[in-house]
Amino acid sequence: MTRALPAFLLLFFLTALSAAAQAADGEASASAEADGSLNALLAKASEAVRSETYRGIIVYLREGQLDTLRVIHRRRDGLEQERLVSLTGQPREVIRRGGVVTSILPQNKVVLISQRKHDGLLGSVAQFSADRMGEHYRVTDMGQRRLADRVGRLISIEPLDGYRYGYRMLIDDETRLPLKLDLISDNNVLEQLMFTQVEFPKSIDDDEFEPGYDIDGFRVVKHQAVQVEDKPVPEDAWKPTDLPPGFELAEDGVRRVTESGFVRQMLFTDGVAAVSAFIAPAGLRKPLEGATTMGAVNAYGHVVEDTQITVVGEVPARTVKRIAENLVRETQSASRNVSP
Amino acid sequence: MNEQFSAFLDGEATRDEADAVVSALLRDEQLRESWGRQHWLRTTLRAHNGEMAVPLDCNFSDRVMAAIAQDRPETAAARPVAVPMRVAARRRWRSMAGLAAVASAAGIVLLVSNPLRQDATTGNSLASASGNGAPAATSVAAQGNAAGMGGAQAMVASNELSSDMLRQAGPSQAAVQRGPADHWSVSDPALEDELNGYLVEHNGLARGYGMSGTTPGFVRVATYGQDTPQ
Repeated sequence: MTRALPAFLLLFFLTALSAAAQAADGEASASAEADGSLNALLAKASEAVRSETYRGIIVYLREGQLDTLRVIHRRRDGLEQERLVSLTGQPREVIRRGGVVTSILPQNKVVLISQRKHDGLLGSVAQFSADRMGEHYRVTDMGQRRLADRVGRLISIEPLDGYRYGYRMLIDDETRLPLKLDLISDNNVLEQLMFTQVEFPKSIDDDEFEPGYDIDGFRVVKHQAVQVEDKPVPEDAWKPTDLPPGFELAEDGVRRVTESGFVRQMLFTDGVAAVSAFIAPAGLRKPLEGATTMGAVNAYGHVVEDTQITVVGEVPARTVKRIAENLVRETQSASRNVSP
Repeated sequence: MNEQFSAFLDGEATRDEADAVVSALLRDEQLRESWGRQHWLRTTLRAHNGEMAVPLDCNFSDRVMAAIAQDRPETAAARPVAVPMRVAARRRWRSMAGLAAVASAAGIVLLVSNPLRQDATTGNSLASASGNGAPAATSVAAQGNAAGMGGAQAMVASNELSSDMLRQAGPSQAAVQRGPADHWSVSDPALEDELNGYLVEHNGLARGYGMSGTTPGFVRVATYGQDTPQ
């Protein structure tokens, strides 16, 4: 008995330990699966914005201001079409047909038409990396909610530090279209974008994508949109250093802005938020030094010798400041090159 | 509801409270009228405190409802009272800023090529428009005239105060610090245009990453400057 008891206790302990380990493995696995599922759901929401056929009224709230827009969208035969009509403030319409964007400003009697040679990332689906999100955000399924007479799942994306905003997205159960998006900073809602009415017809007629104004007599201005140049990025000119945690360089290109002027654009992302740094010759206008803001969008200007750095993104002010102040020109040869 | 409404106007409402306020606004006429009064009061107080003044538009919510009901955009004809020339000039300028934003959304580089935003003195470009310290009213008027805008567009709602008027009640410098919700907190039109252009370029490139791809395009652009003097 005296020998049997320790043996029993040891066996009991080992069994309990094993069971606990198995339970922990199971929980971790379930958690990972849940994270993966939530990330997949977010990716589907991004896809639904582009692929679903819908029309509705969007209310856009920020800092007590409220704007209302009517949105109509479809993708048919691979062509994405969208019409956005402002119902408050200045009358405006923005109609997109693939890479062709037509902006109508009735008060000015102007129609602006722009064409991109390639739709590029405008037509792509955003991907959410579970690993990267998990490092800097806590993603939580907050259960079902009801909005605009529809039922959706509310997903909370909570930042783990002060370099990014939080989000709450209500995703329609049936179509995966985001019905509502809250942008959150320090537990305060900075902006809300939500459908107050939405419907998903099987199809939408062509004429619903026609302008609501008689544009006969309007001045038509056509432009070729800015294109990314084939010109190689000057690798040795500017490098990001000491980026905010989690942000990595995702895109790097040079864009033509005048006949002879180029601006380099570097896009950084943490997998959820995105920030662009624009590097241009200084002296073209009054320099931007320091911070400026437009609602939840922050920008920060920094002049280094003959170069204006401007960082823009829907992230907190400290994030754009840190990126702007940590872009460095690496080589002496590059420093003689005025072009970014 | 009054407490929620007040908290909402002060930006202190919780998510659920904000939702409730919006829903109530959309169905309750009296509340919409209250919105107008309270919004005006806060706007004026903020102006006296030197914060960014935003225009009052007591009929705003009614026009939202009317526009939705009639399924048509609100038109300028709904705002039939003339205002002083200085306000009119600012309205034209703001129209150009909005135009710049919309055009930028379309991928247009207005910084150098917008034919509607020619500098009156040089007729060109970012460089000429930038860095000048000219009084806003002067340069704004010049831009408005250069754009060929008629005086008939100097119309705003009778109960809408211009931010020019409100700014006279307090120091304007603080306006830059507060940060408006629907346009950049800078005073230089060239810089504002450039930031608009950058924002659009950013949105275009960021569309394939994370949250940038989860909202219908152009919403921020279509509402650019909508709460500033028209």
